[in-house]
Amino acid sequence: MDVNELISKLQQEFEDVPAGTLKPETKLSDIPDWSSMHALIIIALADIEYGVTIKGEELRKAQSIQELYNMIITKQSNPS
Amino acid sequence: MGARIKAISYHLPEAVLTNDDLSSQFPEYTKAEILRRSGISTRHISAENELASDLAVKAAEELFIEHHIEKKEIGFLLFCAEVLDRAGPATACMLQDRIGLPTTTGAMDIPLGCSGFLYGLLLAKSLIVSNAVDNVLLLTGSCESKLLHPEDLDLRMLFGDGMAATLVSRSENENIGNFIFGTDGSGWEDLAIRGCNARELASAKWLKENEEARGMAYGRYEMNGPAVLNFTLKNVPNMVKEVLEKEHLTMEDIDLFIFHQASGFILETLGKKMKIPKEKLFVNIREKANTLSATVPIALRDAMDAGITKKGNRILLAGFGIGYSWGATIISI
Repeated sequence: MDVNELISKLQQEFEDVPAGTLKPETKLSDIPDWSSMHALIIIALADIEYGVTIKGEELRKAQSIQELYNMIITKQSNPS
Repeated sequence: MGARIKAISYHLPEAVLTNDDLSSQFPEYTKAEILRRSGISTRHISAENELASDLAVKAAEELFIEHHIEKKEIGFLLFCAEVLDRAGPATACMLQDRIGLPTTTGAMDIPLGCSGFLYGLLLAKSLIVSNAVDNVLLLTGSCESKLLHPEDLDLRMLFGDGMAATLVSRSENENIGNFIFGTDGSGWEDLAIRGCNARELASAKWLKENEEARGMAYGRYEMNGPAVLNFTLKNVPNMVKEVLEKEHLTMEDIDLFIFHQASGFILETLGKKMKIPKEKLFVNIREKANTLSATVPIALRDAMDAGITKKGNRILLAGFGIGYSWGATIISI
């Protein structure tokens, strides 16, 4: 997978976000109407699609979609 | 010989909290957004001085009338709720008198939340197969709206009040299967009622800080949403796998999955992760909300009323949440 695959999956989940607005450098907190629900959607997506567990505090540290992608890749290669 | 769920009735308080009500209090959220986030359109809310035990009296009365059950038949009363009337005596003892059960009735509280029905069912079955009694009245539910801070939209949109009354009786065949259960108390802080308890005494400071929320004198329900989601995604699929293995069954052998109705999102995510066909995952949270230990019996009753379950069906029941605590079994009806 690459970061664009993650973006396309996020795009499918975030119904309110207009297509094409998510980029690798997009800050998670800048996603329109960012809320606690978006965090839950990302955690569920990481678990189901990528088989990794992301804690709430870890997600808060990820500044951008690229950083979220890097975190998922790191976790996939170092299963806890 | 064995045990079976013979009858279920439930009582929901009259007052309802709609998404319109919530949206007018939180104008930054439309009612459609609140529905999308919670999967819930209405929650029933107990009256000002109405506690879980008051709902239990009504649910028990409805069970006796609806199913023509004689009170003298009851050998044991199990009352499961987190809001008990007092630290002592057990609320179940006072309920024996209020409901009018014989003084030969055994009575116990089970102060569990979302896993409570499964634990109650396990205890009821055990009481029957150990020949202690023939009939157990299991009352499970919540009045959790009293523990929610008025500004806490995340929890107010999820929780509703309600009480289920389930009669578990001796039967010729065993209709309640083996149980899987588990506990991880290390995660207790992720989902807990804080303030106003024996560890965190009600202080003048607490009451003052929460003055505009009528003091939050029952304590305040707090949840770490991401942590609870991770707990659920890890434990529920494992528990389902284990209970199927214990019964030598596969996913395909199950006619209906009834999980604790935690939230629309959690149910949808569990269904997706476990690849449960939509028609086999029962969801009634939209009108009934999350009533903690009442959700599983309310869902079972609604599924039976809707004709979704047929005689001979295998139904997998699972409860999970505050504790952390979880349990599952497979019943046949």
